[in-house]
Amino acid sequence: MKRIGFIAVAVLAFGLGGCKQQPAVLSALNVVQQVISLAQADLPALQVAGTLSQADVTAFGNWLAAANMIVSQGQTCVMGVGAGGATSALANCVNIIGTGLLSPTEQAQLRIISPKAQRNVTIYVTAVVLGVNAVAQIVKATQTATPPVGATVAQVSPSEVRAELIRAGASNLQLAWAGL
Amino acid sequence: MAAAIIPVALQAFETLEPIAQEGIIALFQKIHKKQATAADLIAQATAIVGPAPAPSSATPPKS
Repeated sequence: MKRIGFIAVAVLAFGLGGCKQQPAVLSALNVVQQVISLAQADLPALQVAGTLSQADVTAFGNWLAAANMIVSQGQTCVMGVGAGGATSALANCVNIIGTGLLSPTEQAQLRIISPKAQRNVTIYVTAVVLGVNAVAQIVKATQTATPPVGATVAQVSPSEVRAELIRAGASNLQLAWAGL
Repeated sequence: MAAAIIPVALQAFETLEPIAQEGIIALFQKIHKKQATAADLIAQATAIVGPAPAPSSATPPKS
């Protein structure tokens, strides 16, 4: 009898835990979507002010649209888990969002943002990632790194390339062919 | 709470200004309590990214 009582208490506690977490996760994901909506609404003003170019608006607009879709998918996943769902199931839903935001396709949109637009874009991207990480904290899911905004490819000078090729055993003829 | 959110992955939580670290902790607590708004997120992100660069003070040469 005692054992049945213990199991009942454990099941109830587990259920209540899920009940508490699912609305918190959904609420926080709604806040993330509001950030995305604010950013989308801000695009025309930023373009008029000259902060974002047309190309920036297109690239960042694409990122925001995809982020919105990814968060929506996460919300659908969380709702599918249900009010009494396990924390691990909710964490899986949140991890899907993080993975989506860090996909190469998504990050490619941010790499082409011009230097003038980078600060404003970074603020919105950071706000989205902060929200997703706060959600991840609720269900102990994986934290998402803020994707880099703007060109991040290191510039290498011809002399550095030449030195590297010589170290690798390139001949003078090969260096000449490479224009080095 | 602070130790739990260290892997917040904003490049490195430890490298942020103390005020930004405190802000993140407060923000996460607000989100957990369902009290956070989009404005809170954007304000905190702005604190992390830092102030806008000052406009150039260079003046065009007088003709």
